Order: sequence, then C-alpha cells, then structure tokens
Amino acid sequence: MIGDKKSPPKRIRIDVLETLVRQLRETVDAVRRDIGLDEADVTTVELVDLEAGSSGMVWEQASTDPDVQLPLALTMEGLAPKSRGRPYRPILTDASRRSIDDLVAVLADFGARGIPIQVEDIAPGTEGRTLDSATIEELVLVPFSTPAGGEVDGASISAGSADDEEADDKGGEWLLRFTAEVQRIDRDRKIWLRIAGALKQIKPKLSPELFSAVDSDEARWKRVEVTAMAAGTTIEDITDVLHIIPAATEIPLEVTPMNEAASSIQPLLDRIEKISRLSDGWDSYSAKAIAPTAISDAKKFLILTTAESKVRGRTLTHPFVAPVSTGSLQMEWEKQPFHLALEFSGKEITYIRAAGDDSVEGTITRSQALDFVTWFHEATGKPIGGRNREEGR
Amino acid sequence: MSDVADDEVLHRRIHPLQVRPDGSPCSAAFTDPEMSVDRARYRQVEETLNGHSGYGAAGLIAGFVRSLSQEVRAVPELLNKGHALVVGKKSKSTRRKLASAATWVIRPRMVGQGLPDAEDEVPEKDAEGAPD
Repeated sequence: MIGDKKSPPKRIRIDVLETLVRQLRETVDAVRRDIGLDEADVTTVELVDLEAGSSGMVWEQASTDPDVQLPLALTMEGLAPKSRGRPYRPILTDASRRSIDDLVAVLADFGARGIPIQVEDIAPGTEGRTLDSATIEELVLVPFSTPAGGEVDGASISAGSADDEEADDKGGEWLLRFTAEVQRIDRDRKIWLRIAGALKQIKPKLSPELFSAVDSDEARWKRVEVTAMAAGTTIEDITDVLHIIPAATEIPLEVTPMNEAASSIQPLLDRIEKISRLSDGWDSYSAKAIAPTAISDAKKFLILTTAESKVRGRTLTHPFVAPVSTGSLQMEWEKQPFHLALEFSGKEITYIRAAGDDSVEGTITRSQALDFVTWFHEATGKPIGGRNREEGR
Repeated sequence: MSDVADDEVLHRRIHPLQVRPDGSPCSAAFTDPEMSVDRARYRQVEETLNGHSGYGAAGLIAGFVRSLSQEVRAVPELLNKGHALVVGKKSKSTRRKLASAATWVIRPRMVGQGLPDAEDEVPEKDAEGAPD
C-alpha cells in the first residue's frame, strides 16, 4: 500500500513491484558504476507524491566528488518514465543506456499488459493477471553444484583443475568471440554456457569483476557475447575470459590470431617498449621507472582492445601513450568534447572520462576499461561495427 | 624569499614523451603531490632547463594553480632560490586542468612527425645538470 494524505492509498502487486525494483536496482547500479560512485554513496530511490493522485519514483544522484559535475535524475510517474525521449547524458556507457532502455521496456510492458500500479485505475477483469511465469523464472538464481565431469547434452564437460589458475596467466595466441547462453555459475567463479545446444564449462575461472557482471540479472540465463583469449582455436582452449556483455546479435565462433591484431598497433607497442626503458628520475625530478607490470598490462590491454575492435569490424582510434611520474603508464583518447584516459599502474587501472563539463574518474576493471573504450568510440561517432544500442535490445 | 604571488609564473620541465600529438603537454606531467616548479621571477627559464637538454618548460599562473585547491609554497634551495612546490592531491580532473592551462615557454625537442620516436626523445640529463 502506498500513498499519503495528498495522494490516496494505492496498491501494487508484489510481482510487479519485485520486477520493477530489480530492474530499477540494475539501472541504478549501472549508472552508479558509470559515474564512479561507491554503493554507499548511492542516493535512495524514493517514492514521492508528485501531485494529488499521482505518485512516482525519483532517484536524484549527485557525485560526492566536487570535481565531478554530474547531477542525475531519473523520475517515473506512474508507469511512464519522464526521461523517455530525452537524450542520454553522453557520459553514460552503453551498459547504462541499455539498462535504462530495459527499465523503460519493463514499464511499457506493464502498461501493455494492463498491469496497473494504481488500483483505482485497474481495468475490470485484470486483477488476477500475473506476469508470465517464464519471465519470473529467469530472474531466479538456481544453486548448482559442479559435477566432477561427464556429459551434459552430449557435450564434454571440463571439471576444472588446479591447472586452471596457471592457465589464466598463460594468455593465448588467439582471440575467440562467440555468443552463448549463461546457464550456471559456480561458486568458484566458473561459468557454464549453452553453446549451439551443448552445455559447456569454460575452464578458467572468471575474474571477480566478470563474475559479478555475469551473476547479475542482466546476464544470468540470457544470451551473452563472450570474448576470450585462447591457446587454440576452440572453446576448450580458452585461457582467459576477457569480456562478457549482453548479446546484440548471434555470433558463431569467430577466431582471430592475436598477432594479426597486434600488427596494426606495432608503433604503439614500440613506444611502450621504449617507455619501459626509462629509469628513475626520467622526468628530471623524482619520477619512478615505469613498473614492468604496468607495461605488460598496458600492452595486453592494447592488444585486446585492438583484437576486439578487429573482430567487430571497427578501427581502434590509437591512443596517445605517455609515462606518468608515479611509475604508471597512461593512454589517452580525445576528440572534443570527449576524453578518456586510462592509467595502468600494474596494480590497478584508474581512469577519467569526460563529456564536455561532465567528468568522472575512479578505479575500474579491465572489462570496464574495454567498455569505456567502446563508449569513447561510440560517443565520437565510431560505433562498433554491426552493433549499436538499438540492435542491443 | 617572499611568498608566491598569485600573478607569478611557475615553470615546470616537461619530458618530450609527455607531449601530446597536438603539441600540448599531457596531464601525466602534472601528477606529483609535491610538484617542483621554478618561479620565473627568480629563475630564468634557461636556467630551469640548464643541464636538461631536450626537455621543454611549461608555465602556470600561481593564482590559477591555487584555484584548483593546490598550495603554492616557496621552497628556496641553496642553488635554486626560485624553487617552489605545488602541494596537494592531484585528481585526474585537476591534472587535466593544469595541463590545459599550461603554456609552453620553451617547447621540448621533438623528433619526426606523428608518433614521437621515444628513443630519440628520451633526453639525457647533462652531467652538470642544474639542481631542481
């Protein structure tokens, strides 16, 4: 029951509320990540009385960082988000935009199904309607314990072993890209995918950040696009899962040689190699030599970004690469009014993104850094080949 | 030595690898929480670059630097009376603002076009390099 003195009490069905809250939470979380906020700093979404007889949910979020100028508001009146039809703030990444689109779609779907949020307006005969049960099931995480090996749907299952961690570090000579359906996620961060009808477990553990991304309503039980490094050309050869995003289109297994991707950025790799030779005090003050791990992380990221761009049919805008006196390495992409800088310290990746006066900075994962490179290319008019936001829904 | 006035120009040496393709200094050159600079009023830029061939010198106005929540502190040294420190945490946003506001007094020595050749641009500190 919701409402107050000005607005008469209203009722909302629990399943509708659950779905709405879940999607809203996803949207808030996606936007939170985009604007670099900790969970503790997220403003509560409130139910407010907008005017007599009308309630809405309002989320007004401003950054706690004085350098970040990003007031953000998302208001829904009844079932219609007020933000509909307004341009997205350019600082938002594709993930946030998709999530907002999904929120709009959820609300529109409720409207189309005649599911009311205000009991007074309920249409006769619709009180007993429920959401499609299959939809509800998709939102429930089913606990799963890994079998020690065997056959599922005729596919061979790798049980995983102590070698897996080593495999994670080996990297690979190939870049694989394919779509699959997330079926199960084990507690040890291993993922089960349905690929062409067969259930397969990817051998290496997911990184914690990828695990979090996959263990979300956005990906769980849905079709995703996987990018991975592999020692060979098959899914069984995967050594490192790089990126998992909601699938926009169906992609059969695509295999790209890593050296093919790297050749186009050889001048950048050469420059990084030379930066790696700088010794302490190189800036004529007290700069530290660039950390070897920062060098290798940056090189690897560049190769991955280039390879991923290649399989997507787009051209990577080459970043400007510079040493940082703290011993880090910085990559910059700039095309007014957009700016992206990633700094590799060897321990973490920090960033700043700017779109005009809006700017956000913080620490990110490699996967998020890839998203931000995509964001830059999309924002500056170089959309990823064959994929855009419309197709992504 | 007097306090640093708001209208004073501060010089900072810039490594050639920290020059962006458009010729402007990169934000990576303005990261140090205690960033050494020379006060132009007390030290000629040629002195600042003495012993650091290949490096450039960028100028910043002290008042602007202070507007970014940075402290500009005169820290004279025996052989460099114009030495000062820009003290304060430099967020990436602050670094960008410093880089945008910096103007070249002397440009670094650049070699070739397009992507700089780092090997050619890594300057050698002269054996008799001037103190900071």
